[in-house]
Amino acid sequence: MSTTERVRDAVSDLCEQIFALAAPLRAQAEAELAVEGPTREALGFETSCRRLLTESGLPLAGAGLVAAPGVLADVDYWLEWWQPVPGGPLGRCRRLPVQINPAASDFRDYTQLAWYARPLATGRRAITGPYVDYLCTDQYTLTFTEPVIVDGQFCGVTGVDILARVVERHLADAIGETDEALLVVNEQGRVVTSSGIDWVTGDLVRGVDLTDAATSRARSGRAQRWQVERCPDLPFAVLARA
Amino acid sequence: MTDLSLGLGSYAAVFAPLEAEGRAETVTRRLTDAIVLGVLPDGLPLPPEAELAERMGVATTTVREALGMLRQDDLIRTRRGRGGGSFVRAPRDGGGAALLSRLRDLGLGELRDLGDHYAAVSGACAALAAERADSLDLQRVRSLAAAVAHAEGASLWLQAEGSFHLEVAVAAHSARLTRAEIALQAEVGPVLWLSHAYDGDPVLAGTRHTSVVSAIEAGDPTAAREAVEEHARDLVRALVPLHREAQRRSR
Repeated sequence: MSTTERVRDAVSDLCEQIFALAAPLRAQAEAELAVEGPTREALGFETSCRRLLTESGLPLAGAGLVAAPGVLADVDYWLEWWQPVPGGPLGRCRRLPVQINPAASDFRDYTQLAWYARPLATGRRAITGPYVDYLCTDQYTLTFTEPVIVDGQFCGVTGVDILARVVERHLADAIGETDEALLVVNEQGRVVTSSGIDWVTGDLVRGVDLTDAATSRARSGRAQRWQVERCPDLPFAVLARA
Repeated sequence: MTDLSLGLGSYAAVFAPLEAEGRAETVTRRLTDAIVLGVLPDGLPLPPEAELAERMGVATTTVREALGMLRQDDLIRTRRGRGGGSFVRAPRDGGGAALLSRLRDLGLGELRDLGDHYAAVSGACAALAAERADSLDLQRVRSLAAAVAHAEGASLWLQAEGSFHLEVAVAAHSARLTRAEIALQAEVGPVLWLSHAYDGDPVLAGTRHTSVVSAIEAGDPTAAREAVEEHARDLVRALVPLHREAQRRSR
């Protein structure tokens, strides 16, 4: 198996592992929101999120439910999102405080953000990032979300956050040490992780068409050809110098 | 040997007296800004004194003193007994008076300095965004620029303005600069609010944002940085006459 294929499989395995960890949250949300006029108090995510954040074996940065406006009876916008307390004792989590009053000057409409908007638009799970998550982690993050559907109605998303640096470390073994540029990029060509010295996490490889081997430009301005290895059913690909 | 009795740069700063103003004043100012700018909206119950003290890292007596000042300024109301506590009261004049007195306390040099800081951070974000923004980032930045042009009233405009610059920082793919931008917005907020409310705002309306967006789209870091820096300078310039007027009235 080539290095490229090994990295591709490692990316797929990691993504499936994360979605599998998050799956119970969706089932829980669909059950808890199925009652008549659900309220915030009816949501029991603290226990399930704490377990997920502290016992899953993968350091996750956040987990929970983001409700669609109007789904809860007592409040319009709501993030039932739990995070590990940084530097706190192991197993301590807290619910993320978020401005939910649309009239407030620091209100940010989460329904416009990709991790919410994409599952809403497609009805399918989505991976967003790496991106600067100013709402939840304040760090360079990837967010894995799934739509919550009750009686055929979209009721929000459940999912987890994982920091880009955790993904970098997780894929480091598969990528190995090589001076050759080997890049894991998302659909936009954003570098998730890499080897070599020319490209690092967050850089943008322009002109990469993820459906095909394509030409992109190196920073020096020289045209550079990449060999593209897509991760099946995921918005990622592995690029190697062609 | 270095003479440590002299105030030398950062060494001196380490031992400089802490808190030039009282902690209660700091708490009052922070809550005043939040109420006036609508971060804490009308009718919102404030957390109990003990919780506020713990969260802000001050003594309960300090919080009590601060709440007393807010009550005097008619920015909160306190009810006793069951279901009681302190509740936010949106200022009837929209907050202009409170922010104007804040502006008066700020020297013009400090105002200029705040503008410089804002220009440095937001300008760097715009330059990096021009290098790094992908198609999804561009879409977000473009739609938020349009939202600024359509926002009605100082508070919604401020929300839109803040969201736009935040999204430019996000398009730079720098978590540190995004955090710096968020921290600065809390300080620049009152200034922006005033410039919009009193200047009526020709400089701020959508044109600057359009040139920022086109520079980012064109992948031109220099133009993107310049457009944002000019925007920041315009903000400060718009406030100078207001500052002079506020000081003249208070004499």
